[in-house]
Amino acid sequence: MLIEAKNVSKTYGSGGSQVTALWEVTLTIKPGDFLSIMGPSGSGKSTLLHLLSGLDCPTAGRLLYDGQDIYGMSDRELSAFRRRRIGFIFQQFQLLPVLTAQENILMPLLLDGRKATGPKGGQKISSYLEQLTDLLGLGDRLTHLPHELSGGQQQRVAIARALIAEPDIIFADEPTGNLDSKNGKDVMRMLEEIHHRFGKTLVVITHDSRIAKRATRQLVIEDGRLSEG
Amino acid sequence: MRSYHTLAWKEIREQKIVSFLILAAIILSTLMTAAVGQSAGVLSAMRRQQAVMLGGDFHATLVQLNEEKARMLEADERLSYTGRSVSVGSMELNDLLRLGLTEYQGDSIETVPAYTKLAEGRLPEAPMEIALPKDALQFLGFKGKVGDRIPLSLSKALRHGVIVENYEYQADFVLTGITESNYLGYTTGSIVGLVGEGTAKAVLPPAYLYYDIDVRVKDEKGFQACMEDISEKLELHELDLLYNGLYLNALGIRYHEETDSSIGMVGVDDSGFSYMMLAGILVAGLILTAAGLVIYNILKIAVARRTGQYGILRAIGARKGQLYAIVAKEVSLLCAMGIPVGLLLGRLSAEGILIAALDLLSPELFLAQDAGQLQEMIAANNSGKWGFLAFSALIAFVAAHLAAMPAAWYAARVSPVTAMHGTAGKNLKRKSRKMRNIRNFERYYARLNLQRNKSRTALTILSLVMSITVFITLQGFLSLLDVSAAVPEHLGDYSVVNEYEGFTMDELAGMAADRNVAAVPAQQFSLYELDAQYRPVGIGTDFGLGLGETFQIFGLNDSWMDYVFAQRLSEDVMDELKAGKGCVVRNPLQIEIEGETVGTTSIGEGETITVAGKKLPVLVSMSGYDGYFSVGNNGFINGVQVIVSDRIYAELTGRETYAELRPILEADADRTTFEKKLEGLCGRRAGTIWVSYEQTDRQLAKSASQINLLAWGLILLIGLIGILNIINTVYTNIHTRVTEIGTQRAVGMSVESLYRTFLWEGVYYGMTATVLGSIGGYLCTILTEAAVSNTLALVPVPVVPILEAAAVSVAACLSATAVPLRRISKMGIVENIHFL
Repeated sequence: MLIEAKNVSKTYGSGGSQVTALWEVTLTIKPGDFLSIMGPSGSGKSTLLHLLSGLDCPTAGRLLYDGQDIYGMSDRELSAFRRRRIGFIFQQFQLLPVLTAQENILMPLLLDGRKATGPKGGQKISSYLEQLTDLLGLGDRLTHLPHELSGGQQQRVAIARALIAEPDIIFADEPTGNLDSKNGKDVMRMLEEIHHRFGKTLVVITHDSRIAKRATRQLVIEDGRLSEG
Repeated sequence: MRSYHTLAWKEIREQKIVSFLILAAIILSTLMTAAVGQSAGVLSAMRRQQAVMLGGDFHATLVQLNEEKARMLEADERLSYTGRSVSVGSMELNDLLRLGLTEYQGDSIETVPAYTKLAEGRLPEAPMEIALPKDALQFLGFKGKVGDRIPLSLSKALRHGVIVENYEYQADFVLTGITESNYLGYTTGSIVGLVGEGTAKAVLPPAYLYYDIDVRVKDEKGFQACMEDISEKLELHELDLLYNGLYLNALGIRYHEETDSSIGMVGVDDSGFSYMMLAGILVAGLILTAAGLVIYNILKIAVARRTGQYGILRAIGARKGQLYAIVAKEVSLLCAMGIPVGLLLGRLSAEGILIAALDLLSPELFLAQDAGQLQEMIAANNSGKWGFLAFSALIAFVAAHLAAMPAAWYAARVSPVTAMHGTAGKNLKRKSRKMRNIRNFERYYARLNLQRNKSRTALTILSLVMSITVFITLQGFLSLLDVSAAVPEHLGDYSVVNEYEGFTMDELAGMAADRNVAAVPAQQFSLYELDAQYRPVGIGTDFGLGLGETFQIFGLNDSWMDYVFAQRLSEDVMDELKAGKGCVVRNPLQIEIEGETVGTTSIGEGETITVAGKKLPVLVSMSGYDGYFSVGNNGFINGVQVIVSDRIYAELTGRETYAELRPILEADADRTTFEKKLEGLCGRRAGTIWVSYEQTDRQLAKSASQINLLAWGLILLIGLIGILNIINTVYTNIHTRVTEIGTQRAVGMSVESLYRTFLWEGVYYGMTATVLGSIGGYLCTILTEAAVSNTLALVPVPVVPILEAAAVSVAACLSATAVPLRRISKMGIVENIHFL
């Protein structure tokens, strides 16, 4: 899926307290890209990721997914688009505390009204879920609630959730930011493997240059302006 | 910021919705406690006032004291008041009433205000002067005026232990005044007349000159001991010490009730005051509990949300007591704002609430003659009962603080480390974790969310359950009232009763000839007690009766006969009955009393009975609850009732007069003129009482609407409290899950789907509460009906109120959900995710 951001800007506040977080960013992400966006705190990298993923609206500019402007969609269409075509991985994992690991993973499908278990349609999902959980080492943790899991395990559940709907692109916002170095390395290794194995487009936000260097294409953002690294 | 206490004020201002909800709960609970407190104050004042009116303003009376003992008593320092009086004698006015004359000495007359309401003239002052009530003069047949002489034949009884000696004498008195009739005296069979000081010495021989001393004791707690000691020292017979039970009860003074002679008010029941106080306390307790649940729930949640802040305070050295104080201070500040408002509203609404509540019960239970007098009493006593109001405020204040205690306790025990790290989701538990086939994710997620904070969910549902239970119970109660209000269908527009001499045939004919009157149904009545052989005394019958029965003869004129029997008897039988060729017999009700069955006599249709030598075929026999006959509002006297035409009544009983007339007015009648004529009749016939059914129906309808208003007020109050709880819970649920909402939205949940999830939660709250509340309401309805019918039995399920309660509670839950959710859903996803 081809993603094109054209002169995308984001401004917060108004009048004297107006702050421009992103200046006329123009960017193209091709299918299968592994992109890293690096920058210091407050540089606008998270804002860019939120805009690219349809979580937030730009103040100016357009964002096209295969030529379609996603900000022209209704809330219903955009929600369906996010759960089917986009996967998210957050720094704070953002799992729903009341759901088990398995339910958290399956949530995008459940929201889509798809049956995740049972003979009809559930088999394919079950086998994909098994494949994912094996890959992420979560097989024996599926009935646990989030607070019963370690940080690394929670992030792996979040990765599985991002992948379950077989989206075209995965956005990861500082995916290792809340993990120790060993778990951080593990998570990055898994993300790379997913990129290679499933051919997903991967956009990773980080301020860690070692992680950024592992991407096939590196971008740098500073004071809201984007440049190739 | 002057001290850390200022934090409490800042928190109130910071969390406006939480503060508003707590404030609302405090105002509502104070409103109710204040209304109950003020009502209790009014009732208490009314009770004292009525007790003084009926029994006098003293604790007890010591009777038949000679001069020496009377002086000893007057010198007793334990007594705060003594008042001397002498019973001069009494005379019979008719079969049911006696006139008793009393000489009050000094200022003792002031303690019996009921006897001194002058209609004309003045109270007697000199010997042989007399003041009598209007009705007594009517019974005496006195046609003169104030200043005229009245000769009376009196009898003075003197009791020596149990032996009574009578002194009979005649004396002429000068009438100085006419006092108002006091009909409540009829309950004791005695009317009081007053004579001037010195009369007793003038008319009674020294051997009969004994005094009655009314007393009040200084030490009310030691009342009984004091009275016993006095009784012992004066060597009084036990029958010579009379307690003023009504007044003692009203003052809360303990005394030996088994010796209660209640000073001329035997049989008067003031239980209405106690019932109403108890009902008020129960309602206030219910409201306080409901409001307490709201305050507890809201504060617990608010404090839980501020755990991080408390953690920081603890980390920088705050003591547990200081954190406790902050939360307590917060509630105190809200109480300071809410309690005055609640007090004001409660004080203003108390009179209306009390009038409506008292309408539920007979005015006689409050020692009033009728509803009008009761309302006058309420209005007269409705000044601010500040002591009761202050006590109510204290109760509301304490209840609010008790409800806040768990939250304050929690705040005080926050661990700084845990608090600052956050506890979101840490306490979550789930029993079933098996992956199910989830058909509807929103519903599934809503169900799981209900289990997140079980105590909060339980409290919210409990609060709503209380509202629904009250709603269904009161609906059932109101429908019972509707039924009873719909029943009154009466013969005639007025009931004019005279149980003493009755109305003559001329008076009946005169009334019937009035151009305002269309017809006058009339009935005659004679009651005969039974002798030891169960035979009626004063009339001959060829049949015996049974234990606990009486024999009664009713004579109905044609008009009354038509009303009662036209529908159920054939024309031939009616003709025979009207012609006096037969009778209707109404057999007694069979009742079980202490294991013994009374009312067993049964006379069947077709039998012939002989009454006063006249053979009467029984044309109809009635039994069970198949209608009964009575005069006025006297109710049913169990026994054999023989109903005949007024054509033969005099032949059977030897009496011609009618006990009750029921005039039916023409459509264009002038009621005022007719009622004036009724007043004239009352003036001529002593003991005549008339009631306008139009007035009583209007009063009944007014009472019903007041009770409706009261019940709906209560429903609204409890409902509001329940809704406050729902709003708070849902508001909290939504605000503590903003980040989650962001995540859900990020991974593809639409706004509609988000709404549905929370609305499902609302539906679950509403439905669970409805099911439990309906069960509670149904059980309470059974109890309410049992209280009315005296039988515990299943009643039809109140389907309509249950459906209404379900609709309202689900709607309340949904609206409580929709409002805060709308605001959250308008927040951006990124804003949601980074909410904390």
